[in-house]
Amino acid sequence: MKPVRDHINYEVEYKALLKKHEAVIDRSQKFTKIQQSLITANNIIDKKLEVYKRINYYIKKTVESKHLNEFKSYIPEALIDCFGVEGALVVFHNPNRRASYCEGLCHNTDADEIYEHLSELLLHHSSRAPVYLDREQLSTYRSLDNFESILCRKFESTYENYNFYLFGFISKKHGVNYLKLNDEELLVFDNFAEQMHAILRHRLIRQNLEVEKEKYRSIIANMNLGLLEVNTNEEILLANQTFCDMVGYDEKELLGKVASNLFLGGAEKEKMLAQNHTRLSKKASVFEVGLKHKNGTDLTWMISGAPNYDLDGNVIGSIGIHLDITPQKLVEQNLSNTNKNLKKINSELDTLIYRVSHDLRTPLLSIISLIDLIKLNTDVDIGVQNKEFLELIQGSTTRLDNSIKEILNYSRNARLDLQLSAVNLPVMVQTICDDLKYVNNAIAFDLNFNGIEIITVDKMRLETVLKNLIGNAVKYQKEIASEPKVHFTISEKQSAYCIVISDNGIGMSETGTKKMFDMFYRGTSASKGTGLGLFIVKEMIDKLKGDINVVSEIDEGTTFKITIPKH
Amino acid sequence: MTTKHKMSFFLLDDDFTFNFIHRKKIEKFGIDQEIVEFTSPTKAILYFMDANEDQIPDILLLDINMPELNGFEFLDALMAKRTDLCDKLNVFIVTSSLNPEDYQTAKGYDCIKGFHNKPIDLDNIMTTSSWLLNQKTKVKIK
Repeated sequence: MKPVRDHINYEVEYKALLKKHEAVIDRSQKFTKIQQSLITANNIIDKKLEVYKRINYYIKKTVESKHLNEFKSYIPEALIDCFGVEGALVVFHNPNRRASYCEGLCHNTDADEIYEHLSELLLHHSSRAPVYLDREQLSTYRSLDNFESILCRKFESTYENYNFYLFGFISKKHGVNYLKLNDEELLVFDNFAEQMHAILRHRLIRQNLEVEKEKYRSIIANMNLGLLEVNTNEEILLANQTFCDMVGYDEKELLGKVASNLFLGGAEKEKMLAQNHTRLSKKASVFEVGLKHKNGTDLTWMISGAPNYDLDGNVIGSIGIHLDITPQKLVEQNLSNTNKNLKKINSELDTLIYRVSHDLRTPLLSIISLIDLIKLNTDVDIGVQNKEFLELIQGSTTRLDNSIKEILNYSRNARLDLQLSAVNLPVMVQTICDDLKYVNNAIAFDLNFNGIEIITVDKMRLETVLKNLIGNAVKYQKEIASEPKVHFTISEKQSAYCIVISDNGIGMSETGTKKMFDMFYRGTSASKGTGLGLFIVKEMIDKLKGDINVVSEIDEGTTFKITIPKH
Repeated sequence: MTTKHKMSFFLLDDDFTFNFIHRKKIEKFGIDQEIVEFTSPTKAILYFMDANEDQIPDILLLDINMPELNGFEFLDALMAKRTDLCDKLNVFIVTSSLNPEDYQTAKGYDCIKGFHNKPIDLDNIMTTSSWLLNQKTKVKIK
């Protein structure tokens, strides 16, 4: 019984051992597989590392490259080297011009042949994501027969409005493994291309910036204004050629010096100090300053100053644009001096005229008064003829006095500016009429004010004008007049007053009305006037910026129409 | 209180002709009057310095343009010495000056009651002054 049991035991043990052995073999096989896959993975990592190393190399090359053309030429090379494609191409395509051109063709591809077909491809695949065209899709394009697949990536470039495309070609001769780049590889390709593009764009922007900078540098150098840049301590950082010419220093002499100490005197320094404070509070301003040229000449400048900021917005100094206004300033000074002198002369003339008129009138007035006294003296009879002589003397003397008064009026009108004040017009006109009643008591005044009362006007001038015109209307009446009348009407328009003064007096001929405003013109030999009255009226209306018209007919009367602007 | 029966005038003009004319005109007016005349402002001031109440005129006819002192300077000098005259004098400017500045200056003096251009219209001055004198007596009665 025992051996049988042993036999059974051996068999069982053998089977268990066998199972164990199998498991060991199985495990070892698994290990081998793992080892193999590890090796493969290692290889892949090595390969990828190699790719990244290469990519890194090309990116470095791009950053260092000095010309855009250089960059264009090695991009296809980089594609071939890094991604194992057999041929590569960069195509610049201008959608506006519907035109493209190839750049940097690499081996195994015949650019000219496939270029036509590519432009068609570009239209179909304009997305920014990398596009992968397989053999079937490529079969439409006959000249691409040699290729198994194509990679395509589009970039929008600011460079002359071109979009640029990267193409990688993989030929049929390759094994199946290399037909396609996997997703990961596509991503690397995309990143690479994106980086290239970014660098390219950066370079373009930098180039444009250089151009702009050069443009402004040239403007600053050639402009006719002095430009000075200083820091917050007012030390000179930059001065353009014009500035140097304006002060007579070289740029070398200026750099690092404190501007105020170099050019400004005491009071002007204070002024500049205040301006610097303004600048620190981030404000720009325009001001005048007096300074000295290197050779000691006094100058006056107009300065437009503005704060200068760093990238964080802190004030780091200021920039000033300087214009030499010395000649203008001199002219201004002369003008102001001349003006002062003129004012003095004018005021002296004023005094002289009043003084002379006073001294001329005083004896005349005493003559007139003395004749009055003789006429009042009823104790002694001087006879009819003598009385007539006295009347004539009095008439002539009065006329001489009137002449003096009118010349005074004329010179006052010529020299004085408008002096506006509120005037009660009805009162003014009524007073004038009342004063005239002694000339001709029979006259009837018809005054229409149309509700107008207070007007703003130059009182002296309007009064003189009205006195003259109403006075004439009263004086020049027919010797045997029936119902002598003077009409006065004032009406209001939007921007002016309209005054009409008419009479039914002796009137005037057409030649008379033409000449009536001339200096010293007298319309009638019977006239007791000076020939200045209407001339002064016209001059004053001109000063009032108004207008005067006359209509007259002999033996019918005269009508004056005046327009004066409202104020 | 002394009641004046005569109306008293004081004429100050450097041109004696005008003083003469004004005197004649006043005389022609036919009222009971008393006239003092001066051609020199400085002498006129001396007169006022010593003047008693009765010697102060009712009406002062004053020229502006005079040598030594002009009319306004005369008033300034006088008032500085006798401030009491400010209320007592009735001054009428009589001038042949047409300078509006003179008129403006005259407005600044309380004692100046009228501004007249030569030749004077005495009626006008008399009307104003008799009204003024009436006012004064009324105040005095109160």
